[in-house]
Amino acid sequence: MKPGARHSGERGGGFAMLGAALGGFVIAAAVIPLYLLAKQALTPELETFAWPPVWLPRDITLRNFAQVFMVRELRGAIVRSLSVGVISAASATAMGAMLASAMARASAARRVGFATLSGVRLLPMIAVAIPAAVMLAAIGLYDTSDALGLTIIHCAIAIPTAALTLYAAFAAVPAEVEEAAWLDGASALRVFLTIDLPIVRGALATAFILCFILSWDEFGFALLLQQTNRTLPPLLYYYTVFGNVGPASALAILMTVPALCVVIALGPTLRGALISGGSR
Amino acid sequence: MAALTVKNLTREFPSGGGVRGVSLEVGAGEFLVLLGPSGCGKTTLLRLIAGLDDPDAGTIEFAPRSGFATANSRGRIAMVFQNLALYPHLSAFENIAFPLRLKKLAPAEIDRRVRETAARAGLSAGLERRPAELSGGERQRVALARALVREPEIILMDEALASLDARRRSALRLELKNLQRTTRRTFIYVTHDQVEALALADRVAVMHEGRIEQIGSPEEIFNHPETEFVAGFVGEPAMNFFDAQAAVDRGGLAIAGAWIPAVVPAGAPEAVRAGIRPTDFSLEPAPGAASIELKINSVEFSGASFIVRGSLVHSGRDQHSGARSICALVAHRVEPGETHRFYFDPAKPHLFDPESGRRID
Repeated sequence: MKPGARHSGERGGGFAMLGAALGGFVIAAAVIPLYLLAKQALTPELETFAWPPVWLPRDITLRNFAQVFMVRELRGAIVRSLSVGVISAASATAMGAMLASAMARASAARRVGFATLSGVRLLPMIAVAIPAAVMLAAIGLYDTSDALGLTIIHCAIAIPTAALTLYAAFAAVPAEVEEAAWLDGASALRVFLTIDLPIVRGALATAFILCFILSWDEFGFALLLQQTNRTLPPLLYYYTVFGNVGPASALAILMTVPALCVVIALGPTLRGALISGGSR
Repeated sequence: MAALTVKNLTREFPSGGGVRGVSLEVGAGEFLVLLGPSGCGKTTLLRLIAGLDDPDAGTIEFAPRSGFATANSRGRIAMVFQNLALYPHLSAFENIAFPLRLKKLAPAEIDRRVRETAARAGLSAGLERRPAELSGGERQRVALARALVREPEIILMDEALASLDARRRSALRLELKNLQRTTRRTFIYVTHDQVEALALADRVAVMHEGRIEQIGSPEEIFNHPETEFVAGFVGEPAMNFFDAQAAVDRGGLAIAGAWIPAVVPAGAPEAVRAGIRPTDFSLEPAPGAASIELKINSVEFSGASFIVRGSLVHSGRDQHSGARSICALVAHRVEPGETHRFYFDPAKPHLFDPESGRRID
């Protein structure tokens, strides 16, 4: 073997080991809390606070889950979280698609679009939370039981995510395909609906899921805007501050169910889309 | 009758390209080919005619017809794009049916017309497949059928056969020509391939730097090029050019010290550019033929003939002739290193003004 080759081989080996170590750290950082959460959800509270800590569950029980389901508020919170998530994600995806389509075709829209989207993303959300709450209160959308105000806010937060996810997909549609449809007699709206949207449908699904998870998980605005008609994250928060760590853990586990379903159902597609920015 | 009249059309881009003051008349049922190198403005002209881009100046007029406003030309024009621009999410059938569905025709009528047009474009099976599952030739036919199905008056094609291999390209070229003859539609076809242009066209418009250099029948373009650019661009192998001194009284050209008898029109300037096609040379002397002597540098066999390249052998001291290597097509093999005499008809050389590039007659 040539000395040069062996040298680069060794260096490659070093990098690989460093990579493996980093990967291990990332996996541990994600898995250990999840494990502890699951353990807390499935064991009595005595064990959660035992000292020295107990790493392997001794006494498995479903009491915490049963307790969560007995809470009167839970049903409302699940329905509210689902409705806020689905409606805000659907509208954000629809609006993001229109924005992304414009950005993919017109350089002016691209400049303004990217500036605005990055601006919205860089803005600390807490800075708009108070004015948003005041404005929603003024039009009677503060803490309503249908959580319409929160839906609007979640939609606004999610539009940049949707647009940036969809942009690459729209940019990948050849302009000639749209031009051909126009020459075939289709209006601009028709081209968008019958040509562009079906072509980017994979990216639309990805954008919808990302926006849904964003809303499902959103805590700050939900806490502020839905003081009494709560969604799931604030409900979970109140459980924890009132010391019900077991039921809170059980609820947290239940909240990961939609995300898990999505990852299992769309695993490979979603992984590709998350890495590539949704180009297919 | 003109199907389309283009007047002084100008469209320029900051990055270059575009067309500058193009005027053109396309007859109904004519097969017009826009020929030129990349960046000559031929695609820009096609897109302007299609209405996909707006001109900076100039007008495009379609033959008046009842039921159509001149401004709205979309319904009268179909286009086949270079990348074909098929709808990737639709089957071949639905691709062809798309323009008809937009017109809200009855499903039975759509079905009949799609199948009829597909058959005419040479597609019989595989209509249920998507573009990604079709071969290059089939995709080509789907694009053609989609353009034909709504029976436009004018069909625009942008390098439409460029994506195919040589064999399939020449087969489809024949079909295309037949299709145009039987459908009696006006075709405007853009290509950079002069073989394709000469084969397909009723008339060829040769474009260069945003202008039309010459427009005429393939024979006119080939036998009577109006400019040095046209002469050099059309013909394969390309025409040989020389810087020459024209002598009207003696009836010949002096090329780097060598005297070549040739027909020189009266009124030619003293300095000219002379061009002669490789196909005009022969190894056999003919009565009245002029000749040059070439030292052979390379020989390629092309099937029908031998492509010979050589340098001019002459008595003069000046070795600089402007044409480093002269190309000739001959009927039998010669060997590199040998010196041969190549004969040609003295009426064959084309003369051009070195300043303007225009033909001297």
